Order: sequence, then structure tokens, then C-alpha cells
Amino acid sequence: MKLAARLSLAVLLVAFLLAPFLVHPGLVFIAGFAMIQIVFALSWNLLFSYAGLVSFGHAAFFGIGAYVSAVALRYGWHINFLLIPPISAVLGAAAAFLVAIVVLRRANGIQFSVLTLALSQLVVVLIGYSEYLGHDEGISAIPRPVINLGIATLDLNNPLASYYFVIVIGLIAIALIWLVVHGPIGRTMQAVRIDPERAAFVGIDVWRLRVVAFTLSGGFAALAGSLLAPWAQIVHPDYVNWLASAQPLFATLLGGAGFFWGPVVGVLGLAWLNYAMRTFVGLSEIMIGASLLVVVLLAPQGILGALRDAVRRRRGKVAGEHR
Amino acid sequence: MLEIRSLDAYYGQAHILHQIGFAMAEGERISVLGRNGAGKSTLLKSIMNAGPTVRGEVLLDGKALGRTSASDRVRLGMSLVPEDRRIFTHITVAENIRLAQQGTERKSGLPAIADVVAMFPMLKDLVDRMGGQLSGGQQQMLAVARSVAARPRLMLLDEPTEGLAPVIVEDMAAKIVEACDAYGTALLLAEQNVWFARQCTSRVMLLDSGSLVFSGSWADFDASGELVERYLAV
Repeated sequence: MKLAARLSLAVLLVAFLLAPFLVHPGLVFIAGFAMIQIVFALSWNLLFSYAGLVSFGHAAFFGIGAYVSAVALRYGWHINFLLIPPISAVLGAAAAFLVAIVVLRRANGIQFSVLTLALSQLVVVLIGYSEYLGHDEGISAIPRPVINLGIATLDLNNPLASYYFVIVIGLIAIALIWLVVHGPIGRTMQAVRIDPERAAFVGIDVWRLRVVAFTLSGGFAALAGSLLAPWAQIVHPDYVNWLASAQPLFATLLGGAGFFWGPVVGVLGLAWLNYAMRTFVGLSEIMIGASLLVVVLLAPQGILGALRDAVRRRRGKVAGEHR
Repeated sequence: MLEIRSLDAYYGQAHILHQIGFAMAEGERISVLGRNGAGKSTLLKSIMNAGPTVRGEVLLDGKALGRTSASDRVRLGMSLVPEDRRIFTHITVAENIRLAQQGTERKSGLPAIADVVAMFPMLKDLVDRMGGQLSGGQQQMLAVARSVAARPRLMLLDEPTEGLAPVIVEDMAAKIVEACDAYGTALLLAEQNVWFARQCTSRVMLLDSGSLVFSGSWADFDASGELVERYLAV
């Protein structure tokens, strides 16, 4: 990784860590929410940029994590909350695995995307029927847990503890996704994305690899969702529907598809846009949409793609001047 | 080791191969010659279950492979290097080789990347270069090296010399023979370059319009002087 990129990441990390001491609580809430969205968007991008599959219904897996976490807290499950994110990840991965072994047998292009969309809408409908899950109103007034760490307790009713819990779990998830895409599985996923037939010629079972990618992606999406309940203290079907599924897609396209850190830049860009436009009542959605349109038209490869091109142009110009 | 019985291959309605049958022993090296469109590539792809609709039998060690997928055939020790090279351009030379080793069932006895590169010195200084930054000859050498790296029992090479400079062709012939000898790998080579085929193999088959019209040693081939004129001349 280039020095400038490393420095940018370091600055971003420090900004996240120092946010509670630098900005007002409203912005700290946005920062925590952005971290959850970053993990969600990275889980989607793991599937899109590395395995070449487009999911239009990924919020279903995010929703599994969000609702598992919400009911565990709301109905007082006697489980140490520290176990809820991994349990959510396992359940999300299991659901994704079941979907993958059925759907990927028959479809992997647009049909696959449409089927995932149908799946997420089905989950929304099922939630609407469930009294346990709060019907269309969802689950609100979710209490924050006190986590027993063995040698000490971590009370998430303390806003600072709650923020750092989200940030630390989020960073662990980002590190795990990074390890997956930069390890042998990630290399193999990319080979399958670029040319499935060529991958089969070197012994890669393309179907199995896609199932693994979808399972991992669903697991990480659910892990992201599990952080929502203790942070926002409300979970409802809007976090599961097709618009929620579009968020990681927007973030990835805005930040730069094909870049690991693209979704991170995209989520932060969207968060900033939402915050900057918040006072334009009734116009904010239009302004956000127009802003996104401008970015996509001017930088079809996203913000990171535009930055990369600018750096290359500058290097070319400097090399030309020295010739 | 490999036996082909009454093999017919189709692309849609087009009947490409007609009743092909032959057998290969462990470590044997055979060329398949023929004009463009004779069915050489289709034969290799049919053996790998990599495209054409196939009728007839492909047996490995006496077991019919049936509908076994191409990737599973790789795991059984077969490896196809297709005509269009098909290296992965987004990863380095070393990663291309490593990927092939990941895809094999064999977990021990795989050569180290350094040993593979030592066998194909053209790649020596290119280990960290992206696949897309290699020349055509280098890509072809990498495609063969990648196949060798998985230590297949049977290597299927589809016209590896196409578009390469003569000096590279000479070098490649030597390297293929060396690699096959080192690992006891059998070779089925589809070629139009008779000189190259002769360097690499001990037996030759001739395909014409999808049918096998000759099978024998190079001495038999040379003794049948009209074969080149009738089936290989443009």
C-alpha cells in the first residue's frame, strides 16, 4: 500500500477513535452508525468486487443480525452479549449458505440478483407478520447490555463504552474481511470473478467457491447488523428492505468498486452528504441523489478510481517534464 | 492410464468428433496433429469435459469419468492448457502458479515456486510481475509452468506454440520434455507445428474432419509420406 493511502487510513482510524472527544454526541452517533454501515458495505463488496456476484437483497442478512441482537436484548436472553455478534454471524452465514446452495445451482447473473431481492422482501413480509419481531413497527426501546468480561464489566449504557464497543467490533470485522480477500480464498474468488472457465481449468470448483463467498458475505453482513440494536436501540423492517440493500451498492459505487477501501470511502461520503443536506427539509433526498449522479458521471470508477487516475496523470506529467 | 472409447463431440447441432478411440500409458507423450478445424481443441476439451457435449467414454485408470466436472478432473490429475493461454492477468506470476497448486488434490510433493521458475528460466525475473504485463511468449510459458506446478499425471496442451517466436518455441519444447520427465507426466499435445510435436512426443495421431485417420510412432508417420501432404498441407 502506498504511503499516502496508509497515512489516510491512519488519520481515519484516529478520527474514529477520538471522535467522542472532538465532536458533539450527534456526530458521534453518526460515526458509530457509519462504522456499522462500513462493515455491511464491505461484506457486500466481498461478494461484488471479489466473487463477481451482485446481491440486491443483502439487507436480509443484515436484518438477521439486527433482529437476533434486538430480541436478545429486548427479551432478556441469558447470553453474554459478547457472544451475540459471533452468533449472529453464524446464523447469517447459515442462512446465506442455504440460499446459496439452492440459488447458485441455477443462477449466478441477473437471475441471482433478482432472487436475492425477492428473498429480502420475503424477510420483510415475514417480519410484518411476527408479533415477536414487532410487526412493521419493529422493536424499539432496546436496552443496552452490561457485558461481563470475566475480570470486569463493560456497561454499554455508558455512551463512551457503547461507542467503543461498536468501533472495536467493527474494526475486528474489517480486519477479518481484509484477511479473507487478501488470502488464498480472496485470490481464488477473484480468479472466478474474472473467468470462471479458466478458474475451473486450474481445479477451482466455481460453484463451491461462490457458495463460500456468499456464506462469508452473509455472515459479515449479519455481524454488522448485530451492532445496530445496542447502538441505535431500535430495529425495524426498513433496515431489511430493498432500499437498505441498495445502501452498500451506493457506497461501493461512490467510493470505488474494485478497491477494498472503496465502500469505506463511499459510506463516509454518504454519511457526510446526509449530514450536510439534513437542513434542506423535503429537498435533501433530491440533493443527495443529484450529488451522487454528478459523482458517478464525473468519476465512473468512484472517488478512489478518480484519485488513482489523478495521481497517474500527475506522475505522467512529472515524468514528461523531466524527459 | 487414459482411455477414450467411441467418443463423439458436439457443439449444439454440429457434430465435431466422430468415434474417437485411443489409449495412453502412464507418462506417455502423444501428439495430435491436424489442420485448423480438424477437431484437435475439441478433443482436448472433450477429455476435460470443458465445453462440448460428449458421448462415449473417457476413462482414467479404468474408471469412466462420466459427467465429472473439469475442476474435478483437475483434482484427479488432469490439466488442460487451452489455446488462448488463459493466465490470470490481475495477479502475479508467483500467484498464478500458487493458484494452480491450490486447485490440486495433491498436498505433498508439489514443487516450490522457485523450483518451477528454475525449470522455466524465462520467468525467473518476472515472479512478482502481474500476469497482464507479460509478453505473449512469457504468458504461454507461464501457462505451461502453471500446469506443471500442480504435478498433473496428464497434461493436455493446446497449440502452445501459436504466435511464438522460433527461439521461444525451441526453448519451450525442451522445457516441456524436461518437466514431463521430471514428474512422469503424460502429455497429449494438440499441434500444427510438426517439428515441435516431434520434439515433445514419441507417438502421433492425425485428426481430419473430426475423425482419427492415423495413429502410430513418428517412424510410422515418416514412412507414410503422403500423410503430411494429404492431411496437414494447407
